Amino acid sequence: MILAEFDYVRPVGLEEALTLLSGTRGSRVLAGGQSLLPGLRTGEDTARLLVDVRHLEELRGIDRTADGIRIGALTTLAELADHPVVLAEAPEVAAAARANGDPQVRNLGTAGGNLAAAGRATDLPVAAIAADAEVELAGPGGRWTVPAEEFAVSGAPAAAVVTALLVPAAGRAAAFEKTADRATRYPVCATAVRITPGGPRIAVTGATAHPLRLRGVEERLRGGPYTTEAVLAAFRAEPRELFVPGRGTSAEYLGHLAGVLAARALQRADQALA
Amino acid sequence: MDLSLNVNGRPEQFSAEPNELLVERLRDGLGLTGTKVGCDTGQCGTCVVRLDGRSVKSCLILTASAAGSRVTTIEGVTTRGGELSGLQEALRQEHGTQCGFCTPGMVMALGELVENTADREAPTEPEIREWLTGNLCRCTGYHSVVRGVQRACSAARTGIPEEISGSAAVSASAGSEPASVSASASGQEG
Repeated sequence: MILAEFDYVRPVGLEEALTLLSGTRGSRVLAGGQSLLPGLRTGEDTARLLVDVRHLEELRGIDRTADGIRIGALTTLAELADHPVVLAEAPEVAAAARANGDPQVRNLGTAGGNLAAAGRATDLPVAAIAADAEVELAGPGGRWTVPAEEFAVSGAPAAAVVTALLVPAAGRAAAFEKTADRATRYPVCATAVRITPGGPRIAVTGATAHPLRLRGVEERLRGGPYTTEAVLAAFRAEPRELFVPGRGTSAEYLGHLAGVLAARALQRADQALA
Repeated sequence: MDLSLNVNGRPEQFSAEPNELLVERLRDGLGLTGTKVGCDTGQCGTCVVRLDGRSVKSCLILTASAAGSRVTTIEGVTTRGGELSGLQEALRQEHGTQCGFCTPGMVMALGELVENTADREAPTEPEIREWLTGNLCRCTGYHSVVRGVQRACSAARTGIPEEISGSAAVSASAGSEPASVSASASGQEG
């Protein structure tokens, strides 16, 4: 059971949720709860008030936009993993959603929650970064967007709610690869790639302090070909301190693993493009 | 907080604290102890129930957040007469229960897979194993559970429980009923 005491409220709309969040110190957004509830139990997270947005219809749905897809924050990871539009236009995002946890966690866990819980090395942020996606937020000051790469570092402000993920369409030239920790299913390392006319975009998580883009690797691989040797060499040229050892792994191992996973992803995306 | 839930088709009204988990309401509040608590941190899957049709971990949702929803527990899977569901019967025939502690969660999780795939080809073994990532068995493993799902899917497609082709271990038990294994974990404390 959860020993921590907190209040709970279920707002009827986003506006009420924002009022509650800005009006109460120590209030937290509760969506799927798949990270927050275990965190409250272990004491890693604290809250005085949980504002449950799980039932807000206005934060649901996946829609095509002029240049991509708008994914409502309450889209579950299970919905995201199987959605035909996402599979067709942002396959790395669908694959990253599927890589999270297990079927039951994906049935409750949400896109917005997964992005906001980036500190726990969830799988969606790395795909959002490779896709050059934007995170849409709502707060007392209105609505705004933050690039996924920036959001992976800054997180959501306390009084804000993630409302959507805006993903440019890629066709099939994108892929995701992951080596999961056997016990926790969190990524030891996960990479997401997108091949664009300007060159590849390559992002990594798990092995690094936070999900991030590897611009040096992208530069070295511009124009291809994405042979395993070339990709591994491009990763070897990265500073070793980029990779953060832990859970029995060394920086050298993580750097190699990231290269292997990126090579697989690039080769798959490249084949899909051909 | 005054809350309501529909559990196994019955409307339930009660008062609960904000920090109460759904699994606590089911077991301690409503006496439905077929749902187990294993790890209490969302990893073992013994507490899986269906929430508005989807399988979820009842230790990872607040009662307050589940309020207003339709919940099905292992007690709601068997018929009123106590007859096993097709999946439970197939697991029984394939010895897919072992000590039984993980079984209610597995039945609730796998029920969603069986239903989701009812209108297409039966799930493959890798699909079944992937679906089981949220359910830990600490007895011996998953082979017999996988065979149970295959048998259930085969039975659902042909109307009769058939032997799974290519499974050597199945033929060892085919034709002779296991003597006393029951896949029904409802109401039992493991």
